[in-house]
Amino acid sequence: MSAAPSRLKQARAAGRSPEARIRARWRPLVFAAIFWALATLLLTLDWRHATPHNRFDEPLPWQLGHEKDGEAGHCAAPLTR
Amino acid sequence: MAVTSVPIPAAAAAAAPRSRYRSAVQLATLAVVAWLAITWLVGLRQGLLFLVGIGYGAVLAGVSFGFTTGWRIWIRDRDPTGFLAQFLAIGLAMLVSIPLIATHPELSGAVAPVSISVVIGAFVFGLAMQIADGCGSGTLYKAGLGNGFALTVLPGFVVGSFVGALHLDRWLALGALPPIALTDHLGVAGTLIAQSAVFAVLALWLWRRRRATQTRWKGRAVYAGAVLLAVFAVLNLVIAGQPWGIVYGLGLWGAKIATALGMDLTTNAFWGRAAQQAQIHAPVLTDVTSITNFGLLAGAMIAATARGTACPPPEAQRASQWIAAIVAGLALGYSSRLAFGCNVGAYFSGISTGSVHGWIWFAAAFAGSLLGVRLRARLRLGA
Repeated sequence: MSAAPSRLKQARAAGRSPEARIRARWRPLVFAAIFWALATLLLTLDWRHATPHNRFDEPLPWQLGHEKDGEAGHCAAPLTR
Repeated sequence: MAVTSVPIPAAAAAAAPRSRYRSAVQLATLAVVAWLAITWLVGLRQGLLFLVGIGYGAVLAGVSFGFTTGWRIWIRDRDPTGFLAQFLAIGLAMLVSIPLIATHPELSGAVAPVSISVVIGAFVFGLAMQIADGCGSGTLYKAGLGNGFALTVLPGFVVGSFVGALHLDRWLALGALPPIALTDHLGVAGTLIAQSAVFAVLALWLWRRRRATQTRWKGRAVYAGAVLLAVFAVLNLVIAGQPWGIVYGLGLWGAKIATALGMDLTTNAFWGRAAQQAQIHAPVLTDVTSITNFGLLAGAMIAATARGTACPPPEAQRASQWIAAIVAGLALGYSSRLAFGCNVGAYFSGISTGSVHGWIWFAAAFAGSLLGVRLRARLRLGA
């Protein structure tokens, strides 16, 4: 019960309408929740529809000192190599 | 970003940090679960890269290490702090990365062609990143924090990055030299000395023209952040075999969505290559750039929650500002593919691995930022 008046006081102190202040406070949380929910959904869909991945056929934990295995994508990779 | 000062009751003020740390611990627990899941499902290497990504995100958000902001604050206030921290990070990463790459053929640098597309792309990227108030890393982590403006920029960034790669061959036809690695011409020691000297001269020039030093970053935290970024960049190279990148991952997400929607990319010069086709059809969690991007998002979320900056106020209020966000996102994505990277893939990783295209990117993007800062003020997008 005490949280709501406190928020209203804060909103008035900030010189904005209480409703606008509360909306501004919650909007990023809602946006972040939507973003992460969508990202999780897309990752799950991608995992289910992609070529099956064999986790036992993985390269060694780090590349240094081991033979290069395949080409990984990078922003600076030229068109032809 | 302006933060309105609001009086907080004493009890609430005391409870706020505890609540923040509790939330940060909960998020960190979720990140550990995600790391275990990635390691179990995909493999140890991707799990380690996810942790490196968390490190990037935690440092970027933890000390407000902004590439875009660093440049803007120099242009506007002549405060060189951001630039100096960037030079420190790139310079330290360079001191380890270049000798490692020279002695280990299994490691690759971010060495790209020197082309007209790099000059145009970097100029447009430098301009657009000031409008969007975020480069590759900044847009990504702000979107993860629920920043409405960054969330509007991000889809455009993904689409632009995908389409930019789609058109890359036509841009390269305008004129391009092969990739130039400075180590091929100056040797390892020569490259380290030459690049360190350029950084020293630039730093001295910026320092002598300073008008302020404490406009955004107080104390030495940003320099500690720079050292940590360099450590994570070297770990990225050692684990993945290639340096830190961002926008390839975003373009790949676009290519996956386009393929899922029925678009045939097999005949395209870039996406049609065997390696790209394999990556498009493999799970996105197996891509080294995407996995560090996801880690960066998680790390930034944890650090921003701990600092109490996880809920930034929306920056855009007017229609023109939202339109600017969409256009800037598309421009950022498209231009970064023409330029063979963003501030991370070209500027940070290009220079720290001795690629000439990194320096050209830096010069052209800074010229674009000079214009972008003016445009940002005209659009009233805030400081």
